[in-house]
Amino acid sequence: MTNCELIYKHQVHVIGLNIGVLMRSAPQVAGAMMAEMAALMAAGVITPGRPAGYELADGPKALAELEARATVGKLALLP
Amino acid sequence: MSIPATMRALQQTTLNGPQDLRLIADAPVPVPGPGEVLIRVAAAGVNFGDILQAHGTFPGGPRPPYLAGFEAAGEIVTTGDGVTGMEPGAHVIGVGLGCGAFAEYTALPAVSAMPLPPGWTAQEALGLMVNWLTALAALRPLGAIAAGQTVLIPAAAGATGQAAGSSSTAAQAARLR
Repeated sequence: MTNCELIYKHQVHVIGLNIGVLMRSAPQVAGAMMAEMAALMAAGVITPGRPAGYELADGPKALAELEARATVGKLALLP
Repeated sequence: MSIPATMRALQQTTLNGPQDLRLIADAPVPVPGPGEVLIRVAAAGVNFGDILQAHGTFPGGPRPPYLAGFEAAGEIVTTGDGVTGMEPGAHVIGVGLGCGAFAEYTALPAVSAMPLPPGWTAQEALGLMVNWLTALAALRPLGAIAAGQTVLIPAAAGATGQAAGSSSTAAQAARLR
């Protein structure tokens, strides 16, 4: 993919994101995100989560349910 | 409190997915390397990346057999060399690719851990370092959303989707549907 193609033939772009890679490759962006997260917590936008808890031994069940799209929200394993 | 030599943990034994995730009782408790903190895990976060790792499709992910999980919250019990600003007894939430978070103890890079927000439990803080940061980074620096725009959030029921929905609403950018 060349700049010419990006500009003249494919003007709609998809941007991918893996947060771990971003934190390593662009730590200043990650730092800005941490600051924004703190501000959103202070503003009450980010509130304590209420994940669905599973015993550690039920971890395979938790992952299977996530993979089957049968869960909503965050899942927690409790050792 | 003394640190045991072995612990309970979930070990992925093949690339056949979570069906080959097994509870073992004799995993060695990790020793934190330079820059790492060892935490007693109170709650570990499950992520879609764990599914990808279990199938071997997560770029740079661990190869079986490995201890699964990369997001954990709990109390620091000891620190490796060169760790500053984090002491044993502190409660943190953090991530570490390949750290084996689905266990009683895990070693995380100190730089990818943060103190629990005051008054929050370990379980309540899960998602801050994975789902919330992912949603915020996607919307602001990368997506450059602005007030009045419409945001399509696929997998809106997941933890990252929920975070993206909340922060989009806060940015007055979202019409959720």
